[in-house]
Amino acid sequence: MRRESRGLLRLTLAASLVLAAAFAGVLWGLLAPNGVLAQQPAPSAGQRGPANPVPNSQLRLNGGADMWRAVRQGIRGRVSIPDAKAAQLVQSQGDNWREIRNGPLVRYGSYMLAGIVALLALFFFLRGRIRVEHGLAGRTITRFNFVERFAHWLLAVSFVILGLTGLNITFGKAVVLPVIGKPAFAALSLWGKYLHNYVAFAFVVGLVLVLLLWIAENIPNTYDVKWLLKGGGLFTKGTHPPARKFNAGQKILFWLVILGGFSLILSGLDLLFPFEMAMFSKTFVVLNMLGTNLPTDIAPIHEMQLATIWHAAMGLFMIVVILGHIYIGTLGMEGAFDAMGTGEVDVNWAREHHPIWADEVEARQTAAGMSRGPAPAE
Amino acid sequence: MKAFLVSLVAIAIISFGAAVVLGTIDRSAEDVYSTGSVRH
Repeated sequence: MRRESRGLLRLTLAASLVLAAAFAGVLWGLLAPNGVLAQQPAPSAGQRGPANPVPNSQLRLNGGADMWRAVRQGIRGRVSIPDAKAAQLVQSQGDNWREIRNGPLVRYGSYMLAGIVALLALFFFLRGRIRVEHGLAGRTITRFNFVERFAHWLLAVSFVILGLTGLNITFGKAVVLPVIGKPAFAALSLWGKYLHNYVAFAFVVGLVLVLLLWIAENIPNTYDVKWLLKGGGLFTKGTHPPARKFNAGQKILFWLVILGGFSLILSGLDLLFPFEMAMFSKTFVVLNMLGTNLPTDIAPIHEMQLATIWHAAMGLFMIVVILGHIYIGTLGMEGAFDAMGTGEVDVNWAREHHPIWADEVEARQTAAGMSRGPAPAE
Repeated sequence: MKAFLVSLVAIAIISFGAAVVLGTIDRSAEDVYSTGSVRH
């Protein structure tokens, strides 16, 4: 009986040890760093850890609810296929992106576009066309040479194409599709997308040319303060604040175009080559050095979402700015279009709107005439 | 308006050139989703 009891005790102990070892093995298999249910760190540079804290101490102890909650919260695991992005099953920022894309972006974007058109119409109604007050002299001076005009039109025409095709991407489904129908809208959007992607490179060339040609003359100076204090003479007749080749308003436009243009180019490259760049993470790292507290651990798909929103918002802002520029260069001011049309502007126009530059040009012309000497006698 | 017309030609040339060059990458754009990167 005693021997039987000892045997039973040994058997029980052995069985307990085996069960304990098996249970420990199962637990290890489930919860170890490389276990089935453990949170997996990103295996590649493109992946990062979970954005939200995930309770993992009770994984699978409640029917997997915590695991699926973690998945819903954006946990990133590990996959054996080459596309590492597939390791994240649910990316909740996608919901936010869609709401922003179809909500505030479209709503405030349309407000901006309608607002600038209304503002320009109001300005035209109140101020009328800004005339050359002393009348046209009939004598012209060269304002922009061929290369300058070429660069301007290269940038301008490519921007108009990009703007129209971009507007179709943002507003087309709501505005164009109901008018022309699905088949035509599909074709229009497809070719618009091709145009947008490829004409963008002409925009890059135009922007770089404009930057190189005009940066020296767009450095702010003291005349700009006087020009701004007088509102550029835009709101009162008979006021002509001093300006060299470019006045303060044109300089503001120049820097908006340069900075906004390069921002569009960079975010556009991010969209043209998806998942190749992580521009927002890098930008946020730099901004955080300046005191901000922006997230730098951004998932690749979230990078793309930020790029689309930024690209669209910046594009809308630039369209608003350029609508103002187009207005003042055509309808809003007599003689202004000639500067980019023929390159020649009336002398009186130049003296009223760019008096210092006009004096400089006329002084150079006089000096050149004097250096040639009097015409030889017949 | 000669500068304007020349700029139109330049836009056409640059855009077509970009389309030809990038077309090779564009054709493999599906690789982005299958492999996580594009072939250059």
